[in-house]
Amino acid sequence: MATVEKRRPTVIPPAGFTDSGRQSVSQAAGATESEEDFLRQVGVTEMLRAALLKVLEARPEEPIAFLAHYFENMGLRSPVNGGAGEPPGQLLLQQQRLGRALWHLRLAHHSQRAAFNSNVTVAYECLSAGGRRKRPGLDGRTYSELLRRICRDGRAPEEVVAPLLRKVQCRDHEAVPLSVFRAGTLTCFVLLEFVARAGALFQLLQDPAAAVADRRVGQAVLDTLEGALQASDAAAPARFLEAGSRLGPDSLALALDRAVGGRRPSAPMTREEFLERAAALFIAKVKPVG
Amino acid sequence: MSRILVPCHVKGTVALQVGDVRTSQGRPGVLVIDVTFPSVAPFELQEITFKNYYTAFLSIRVRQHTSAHTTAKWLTCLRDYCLMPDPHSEEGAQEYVSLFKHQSPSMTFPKWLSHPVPCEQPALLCESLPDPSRVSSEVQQMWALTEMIRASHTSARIGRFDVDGCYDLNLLSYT
Repeated sequence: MATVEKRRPTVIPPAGFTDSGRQSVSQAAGATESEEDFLRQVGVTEMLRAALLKVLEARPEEPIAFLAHYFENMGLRSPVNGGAGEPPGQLLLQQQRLGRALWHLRLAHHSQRAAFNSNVTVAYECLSAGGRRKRPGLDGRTYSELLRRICRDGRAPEEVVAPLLRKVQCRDHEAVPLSVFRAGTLTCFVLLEFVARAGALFQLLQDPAAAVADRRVGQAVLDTLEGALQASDAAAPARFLEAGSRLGPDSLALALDRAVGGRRPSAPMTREEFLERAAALFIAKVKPVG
Repeated sequence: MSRILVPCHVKGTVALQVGDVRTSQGRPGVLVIDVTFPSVAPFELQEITFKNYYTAFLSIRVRQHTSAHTTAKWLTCLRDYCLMPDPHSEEGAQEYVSLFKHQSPSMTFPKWLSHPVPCEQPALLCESLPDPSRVSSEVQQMWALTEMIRASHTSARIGRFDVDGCYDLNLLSYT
């Protein structure tokens, strides 16, 4: 049951004009002015401006739903019970903070680097804010919980992301600085996209009848990718050219051709196994936190 | 004026390729053939005749020794001369070609041939194999994401003293 919304008293324009026509005009002008002032005083103008800026920055596909979530989150910031009664428990506050931080982190895609970084900073501040019973700063437990949530909500299988989390998680009692937070969250989002691409790749490789792929084909593709990632010590342009040459359609076609080679089909490879192996190639290049 | 054959020495093809020739699997698109003329006497080259074998475009560069005083310079006589209208078709693939002096904008003819090779599809691709260009697109994106993460490591440390991943105080060393 919603609390009764109190109505603020409107400003009544002073009467005192002898001319009735002018009086009505001045009354109308006074009412308009009071509406603008009213909006500004309660902070609605500022709030709407901030909301519109967020929409422009994030460019969501469904702006109305985006705005609805935005205002819902705004509501979380005000006290849940209107100030009366017991304040919400520590656990609930923690969950709210996590939810809000996750929402900030998902506003921009990781490739929109400037927007993503600014959202990371906001999320970090949200999680680091001190409370009545909470010291300011981000502890390792909350950080690890956030990373797990990111990966879980990204619908990546747990076995696939577990090795990454082991590498980038922090111990419960450690204090997490912003740079580590940024690197860890970015890595999680990039891994999610990597796994999505690997899933799409498996779709291409799999047998249309069954949901599995020929093991030789899957292994050949993974081996080619691994080879391209085994960077030589050459400088960046030469390395990219070499990788581009290895991963071009002709080179891949040859690799696939060679792998299949007229031998009879071998054991199948499931999607889970393919994703796990592909993710392992990615995770091997992630620098562990320390 | 009679025309005579000029003895020349054609060296083996050299691939212009980044990376190790033995280990890389990609086929290079450009091959180079050096042609030298052992005879010392100067001559005016009128015509080059050869039989093509699946080369799409030909560039010819010549290094002229004009006199003893000036250093030899490289000149481009032909650039990307089309031998095969469609590199993936047979037209022009095995034809005899004659190139005449008047086709090149500069004076004399080459002592150096550059010999690009067209992209060849692997023959008899199995029907059941997946589409290589789509596979290549996905794999390249995966490679790019991994490279990005590899490059974007943070140098900030969390201040942890790890010994083989263990945080046991007793194992910390003082050295």
